[in-house]
Amino acid sequence: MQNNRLIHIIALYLAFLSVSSKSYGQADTSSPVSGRGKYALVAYMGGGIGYYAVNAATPASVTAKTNRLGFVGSIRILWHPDHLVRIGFETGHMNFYSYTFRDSVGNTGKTSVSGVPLLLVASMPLTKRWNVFAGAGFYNLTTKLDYFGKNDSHKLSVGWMMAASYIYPLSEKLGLATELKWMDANETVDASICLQLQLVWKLFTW
Amino acid sequence: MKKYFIISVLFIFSIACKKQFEAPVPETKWSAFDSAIAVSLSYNTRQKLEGIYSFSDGADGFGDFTALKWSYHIENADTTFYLSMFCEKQIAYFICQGKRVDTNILLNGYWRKMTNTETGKARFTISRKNGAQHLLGAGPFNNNTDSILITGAYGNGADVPDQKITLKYRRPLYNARPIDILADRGGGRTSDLLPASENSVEIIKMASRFGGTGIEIDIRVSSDGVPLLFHDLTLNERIIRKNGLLGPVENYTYAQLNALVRLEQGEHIPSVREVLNTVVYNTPLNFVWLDVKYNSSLQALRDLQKEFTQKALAIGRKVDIVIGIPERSILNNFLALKDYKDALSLCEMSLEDVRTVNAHYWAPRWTLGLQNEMVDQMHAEGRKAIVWTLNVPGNVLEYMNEGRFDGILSNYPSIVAYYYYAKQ
Repeated sequence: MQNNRLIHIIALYLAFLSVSSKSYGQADTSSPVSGRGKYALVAYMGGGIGYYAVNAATPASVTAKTNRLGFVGSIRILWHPDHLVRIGFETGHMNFYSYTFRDSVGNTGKTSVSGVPLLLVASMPLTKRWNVFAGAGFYNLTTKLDYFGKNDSHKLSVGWMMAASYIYPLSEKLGLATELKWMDANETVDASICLQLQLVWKLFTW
Repeated sequence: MKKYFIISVLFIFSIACKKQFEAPVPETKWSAFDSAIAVSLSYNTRQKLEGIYSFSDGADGFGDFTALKWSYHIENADTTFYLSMFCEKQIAYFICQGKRVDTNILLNGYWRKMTNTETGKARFTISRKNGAQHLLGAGPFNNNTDSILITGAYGNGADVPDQKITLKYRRPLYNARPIDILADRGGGRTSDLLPASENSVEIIKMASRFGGTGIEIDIRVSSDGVPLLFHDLTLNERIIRKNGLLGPVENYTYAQLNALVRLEQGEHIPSVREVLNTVVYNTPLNFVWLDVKYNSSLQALRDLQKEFTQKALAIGRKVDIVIGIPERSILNNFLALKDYKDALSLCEMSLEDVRTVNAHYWAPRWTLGLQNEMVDQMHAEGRKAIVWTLNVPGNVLEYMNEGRFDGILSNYPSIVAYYYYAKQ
């Protein structure tokens, strides 16, 4: 079932890219071709808050108090070519959820789940200031457990993200963006909806 | 914008469609069976009831024949006996309990088909004139003059049983050449929607009801060195309930796992000690294959093997507890044991490796073929051979009839049991 879901996601992602390519093709036919335009390398750096939007399950054997809110920080580098589709890489850090708990004999503990996304990202502008993003790849997930000793345990999960952002230009090279994003570590069923404030910085053009 | 909207809607639908499969064991209350005048069946009656029966009614759903075989489970001082009916068609089985009510015998339980999620209630009666008189009497059952006719019905899901079944006794169970019928992962896989999770104490208690005479269990070790049962490399939702704990079980202490991790059906991850205690004191199982999946010292496992082999002997039981050797690194860890030559072991590697570790069992995978000559070599050296993991009924039948293995490992021990007991 997990595989089917992943196949659906990949298929839709490819559909998204094909539509994007078509838009690019359409744009080409309506504009005269005059050699290549400017390329740019653009960084999107931001931070914000994430809300863990799927089942924040805790062990039935303990009394737990769950926190679904967590910090989300991300950095994305995209190559902006002279056509609609931009591609690049995204990473960062996000806290999915955490819970404190008390077991049946009164011992207390804390568990938190966080992740580092490692995603290949494609993007395209919908309008001059509205942009959409979609990415697929992996999340390096970490569980921190503090109960009868402290443990850090890691797992790599396949995953994806999609996002929409509004970019307000501050100068020729800088912009300020608000981004709404769905981050999904598919294999471990961890997902958050995130709201971020971003600095968009055109690193260089050629 | 319209196309983006359509894509978004399709996307949301694609991630929302997740069908939940389940095959819950139905409630089996039956007033006649639960009445105060219903009493347990004697050992003599139970033994006479075992055998191969033909379906006069119900063959469409379950095939032409079924093998009736008793098993038991001990909890504290109470022993509960279960009559399993192993069928060929769709790897179906019935699991019933039996009682005597006046001069009749009642059998009450449920049925399940392992090829799908079909299950339901089942109720049977053996009336005085249909054989209960012979079965409840003190004398032996005469195959030539006595007959048994079991009449009853089965239903779907929680429905009252209303579809007729009639079984007629044909012959005794085959037992001329004993084999080990080994249930994978302690009794079966979680994905097969059994009443308990794989590699749990609860599924091990049920293994003999599914046809197993022994079990294979997957052994890993916690960060504080406690051997425990877990199949996969990492904690994941195929096996456990979501709890935020990720990564290998080897990253956690047993106290942490025991307190915080629950298997799919709510059980805790059992230690090998707990499981061997269950096998020896609570079940009729006589073979335990410790399938080692960790690469470190096997001393703790060897100590448990010795301890529980002795405990079984002390209560008059012979339980073969074997340390599985699937690969080179584990073979080296096994050779590092001071008394490895005395340790009962099962080697999945070459015949030369089997001889190097003095393994009592050779266990090749079934895809390598029947390998009758190599099996004969092992027999000539006083060793036994077990094949794994046969799940397709046709393959089980082929290996049963054409192979010379001493045991078969399967996720569906009921079909192995059917083909074995139905042999003539």
